[in-house]
Amino acid sequence: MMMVDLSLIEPASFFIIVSSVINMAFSLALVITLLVNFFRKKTVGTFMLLSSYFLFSLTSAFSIAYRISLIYNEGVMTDTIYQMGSLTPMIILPAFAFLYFFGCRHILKDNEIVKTYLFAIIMVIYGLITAVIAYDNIYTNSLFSEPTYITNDVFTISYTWPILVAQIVISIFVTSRIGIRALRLARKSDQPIRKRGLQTIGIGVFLYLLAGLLSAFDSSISNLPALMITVSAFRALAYATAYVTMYLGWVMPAWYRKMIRKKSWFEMQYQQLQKR
Amino acid sequence: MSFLQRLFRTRTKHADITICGLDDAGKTTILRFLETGEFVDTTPTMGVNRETLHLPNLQVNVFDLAGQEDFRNMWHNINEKSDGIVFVIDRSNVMRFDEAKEVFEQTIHAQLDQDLIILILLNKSDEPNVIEKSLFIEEFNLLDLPFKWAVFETSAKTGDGIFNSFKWFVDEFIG
Repeated sequence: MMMVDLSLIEPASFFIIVSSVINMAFSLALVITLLVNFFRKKTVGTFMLLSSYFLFSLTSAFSIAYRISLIYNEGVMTDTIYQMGSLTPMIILPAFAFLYFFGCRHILKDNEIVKTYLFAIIMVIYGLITAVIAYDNIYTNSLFSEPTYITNDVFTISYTWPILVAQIVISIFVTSRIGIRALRLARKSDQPIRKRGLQTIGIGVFLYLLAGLLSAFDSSISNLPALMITVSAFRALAYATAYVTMYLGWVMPAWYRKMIRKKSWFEMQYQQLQKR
Repeated sequence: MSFLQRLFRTRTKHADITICGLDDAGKTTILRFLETGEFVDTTPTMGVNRETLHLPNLQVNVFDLAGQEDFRNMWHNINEKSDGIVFVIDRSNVMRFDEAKEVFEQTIHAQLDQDLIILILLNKSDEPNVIEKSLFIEEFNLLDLPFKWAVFETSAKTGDGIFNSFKWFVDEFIG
């Protein structure tokens, strides 16, 4: 078994891997609580939410495995590592599709026509990305290791950018709509638990979006280590906060409800009577 | 009791109670009054409303069941597990007394727990032409009931009797 000399690994890589593992633990905790919630409620909505965050969690796992494998192989890109890295964009779009459909059941009010068209658009983009990745994995293996492809013309184009842009556009579209709608509903709601729950969901979703955008940003500044570490730190913080916030918003554990909820009239009257 | 059992024994008791009664008797309005302390106009319940009361040494889970005929078949599933029943009657609606009595008897006879506590609320006391409490007790044969019970006159509009009735109920649980 090949051993890696850990002293050769740069501190920046250590930092990024450790922060990714911590984030992974947070996302796994969220998935487990959603799983428990699903077994308790057994509804289509909880299943969609669980599927969505399970896939998000899987992308984090692949990303960590990709980085660790790369270090383990001392930077040599093998086919397995390469394929591991290319799986992330294939998983993330169905995750957003599940999140969108969950949102449609409880928060968004899209009608069937809008839902069908949006789902079709997401699936067409997903199909294109899958086809490009499959073609690349079979024939070229240049999508991630050599991001640029020189055409016969003078232009230099990259496969990765359209994929990244598609991911960013869809993630912004789905999460910002759910976030905005949740915050709007929270503003209209009179019930304190519902109001705080929707506010928490809105904040959590926007934090997750911010973390996702920071992820996209830090992968494009790999030649600037100091900036990359700073962005990674903020990204890790945003992910961790987003997972905690989304746990509070989506699951609404009993202790959180109890904290939000004011004492009822009967409780106050009864306790006053006890004090006398 | 061993030292460890005493150490980890929860001091807070838990009680599940259900609010039953015909539709439009005022069950949800009573529940909302307990929550807010004021009259809240409600819509017919579809399914179950749940409220938890956190009192000193007692946590009460209140299940407000839909009173429509279609939903009554579901009651026994929840009632079986409950420690107490609140039965709400619209005392101004003489036309539905027989129906209310039939439903009340069905609910009571389905109970297995002999320690069950029953609170009967003669609601809508603010309305004219209401049935007298003594006459109601006689009509509903309450004196023959094998459970601990009490009847209170209430109004979820004015709040009369709501606190006292539930206080009696809670005190019975705390013992």
